Amino acid sequence: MKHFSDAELALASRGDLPFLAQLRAQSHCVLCPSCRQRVETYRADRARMHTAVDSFELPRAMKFDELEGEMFANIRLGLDVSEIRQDFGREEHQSQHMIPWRAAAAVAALTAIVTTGWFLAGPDTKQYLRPAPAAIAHVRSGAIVLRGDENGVGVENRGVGMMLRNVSSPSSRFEVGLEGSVRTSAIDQDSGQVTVSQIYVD
Amino acid sequence: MWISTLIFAAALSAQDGLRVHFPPDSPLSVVSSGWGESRSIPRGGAYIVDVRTSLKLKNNSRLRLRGISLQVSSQEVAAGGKASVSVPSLDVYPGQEFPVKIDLRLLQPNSGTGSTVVNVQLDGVLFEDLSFFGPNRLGSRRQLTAWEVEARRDRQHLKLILARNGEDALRKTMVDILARDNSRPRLDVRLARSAAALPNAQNIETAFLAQPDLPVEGIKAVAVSTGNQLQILELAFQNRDRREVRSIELGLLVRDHEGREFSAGSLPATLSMKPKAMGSVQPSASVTLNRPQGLPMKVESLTGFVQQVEFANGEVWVPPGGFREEARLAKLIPGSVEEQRLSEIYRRRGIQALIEELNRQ
Repeated sequence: MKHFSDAELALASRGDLPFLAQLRAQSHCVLCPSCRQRVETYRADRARMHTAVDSFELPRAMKFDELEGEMFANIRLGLDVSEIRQDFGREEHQSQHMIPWRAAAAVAALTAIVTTGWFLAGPDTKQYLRPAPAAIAHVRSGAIVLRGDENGVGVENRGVGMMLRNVSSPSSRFEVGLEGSVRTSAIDQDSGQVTVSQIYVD
Repeated sequence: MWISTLIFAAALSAQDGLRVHFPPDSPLSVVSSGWGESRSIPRGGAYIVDVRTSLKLKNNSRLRLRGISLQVSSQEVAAGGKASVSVPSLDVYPGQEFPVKIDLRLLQPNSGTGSTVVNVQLDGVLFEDLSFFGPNRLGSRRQLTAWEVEARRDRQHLKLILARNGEDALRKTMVDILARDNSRPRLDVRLARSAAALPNAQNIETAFLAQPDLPVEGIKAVAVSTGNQLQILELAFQNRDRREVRSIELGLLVRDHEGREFSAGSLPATLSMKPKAMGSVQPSASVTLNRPQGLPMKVESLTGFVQQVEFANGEVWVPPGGFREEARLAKLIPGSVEEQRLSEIYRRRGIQALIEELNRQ
C-alpha cells in the first residue's frame, strides 16, 4: 500500500486537496490506520493552535488565518511544481520525491518559528522597533524624500510625513517614476484585491 | 511615555477624523467610513500615528465598475507630496457594495495642534465600457485604463492557453509566472530631481527595443553616466498613429559592465504630439543604482521600450500579450497587476479557483 506524503495529508486534513486527490486520500485513510492517525494529529494540532492564538488579540499584520493560508498555499504550490516536473524524465523523477518532503520540512520549520516566535514575543510584537528594511526605491526633490519598500510608500519633509502601508501583505512590486513618483502594489489577503499605492512629488 | 501615548490616543479619537469627499454627481456613494484600529507612538520629537481606515462604497451606476483611484492627503502632514490608493481589476456590479482599505502612518511633530484630519477624495473611477468619471488630478484615467486594457489582454492570453492546451498548461504557466516573480533581479533605485549635470559623466550607449505595431516610436535618446549614476538628457519620439498623443510611458532597462540587465523604473511623460509629429522630453533627474547588497552598479548602456501610450481621445495602447516573452523582458520587468492578482489566486487557492475566476468575466 502506497502511503500519502506529509504534505498531502496536511492538505487533506483541511479538505484542501483537489477533489479527486481528496477522495483518494479519504479512501486511503479508511484502510490505513497510520495515515488516518497522521491526519488526526494535523487536525488536533490545528485546533490547539487556533485555541492558543484566539486567546490573544493579534495585530492586523499577523493574523493566524493568513499565516496558515500562506503555509498551505506554499505546500499546494510545491505539489503542483512536483506534478509538472514529472515530465522531465528519470533524473527529474528522483527529485520529484524530494519536493513534498522539502515542502513538509519547510512547513514544519515555519510552523515552529511562528509558534515559538509568537509565544516568546506575546501579542505586542513591537514591530515599529524593528530596523527598517533597505530602501528599494528612493526619490529626493529638495527636502522632500519619497520612499518605497516592502512596507509601502511614503513621503517625508523636515520631520513631517505620511506613509501608505500595505494592508496585509508585503509589496511584491515596486516602480520608480523618473518624473518623481514611487509606486508599489500588494494583494489584500482578505478581499483578494490588488491595491496600488503611489506617492508623487507635488 | 505610556501615559502621554494614552493621552495622545484619546485626543486622536476626540478631535481627529476621516473626511471623505466625493463629487455630488458621483456614480459612487459612501456607505460607511471611519477609523478602525488606530494608535500613536511617540518617537523623539514627533508622534507616529497609525490609522487604519476602511471605506465601504456602492456602485450606483448602471455599469460594472473596473477600477477606482482615491487621493489621500492630510493638511497636518502636507510634506510636499501627493498620495493615491488605487484598486484596479475590480468587477463590481451595479448596486453592489465593495470595500477599499487605506492603511496610513502619519509622522507629526509634537509641537503641532495634535489633531489629525485625513482627507480622501475620489480621483477617478473606470467602468466596463472604459468610460471614466472623476477630476483626474493625478492622471488616474490613463493609469486605470491601462491597467484594465492589460487585464483584458492577460485574461485572454490565459483563457487561450486553457482552451488550447488544457489545465496542465495553465498550471505550468502560473508556476512559471510565480518563479519569475521570485527570481527577478532587483535594483535599489535612488532618484534625485535636479537639473545639475553629473560631474565627469560620459555618454553611454542607448537604444530602443523594436516593438510590433508601435504607435509611438523612440527616435533619439541621449544619456550620460558616471559610475553608478545615470542621467537621461533627452528622449525624442515620433507619433506614427493617426490619433493625437497626450502622454507616453517609457520602460527603462540598464546593463552593467558584466552584461547583466535590470529594470530601472519607468518614465511617464506628458508629451502632446499631433498625428505623425515628433516630440521630446528632457527629464531633470539623476538616478543612482545599487544592487540589493549595496554594491554600486556601473551603468554601461540604457534601453527604452514604450509600455503605454495615451491618446487625446482617452484611448490607451499597451504592448501586445507576447511582447514581454518575445523581447525576453519577462525575466526583468513584472507583469500586469491582473497577472499578479491571478497568480495569487492560483498560489493560494489552486488551479480550479483560477479557472473559475477566468470564466467569471
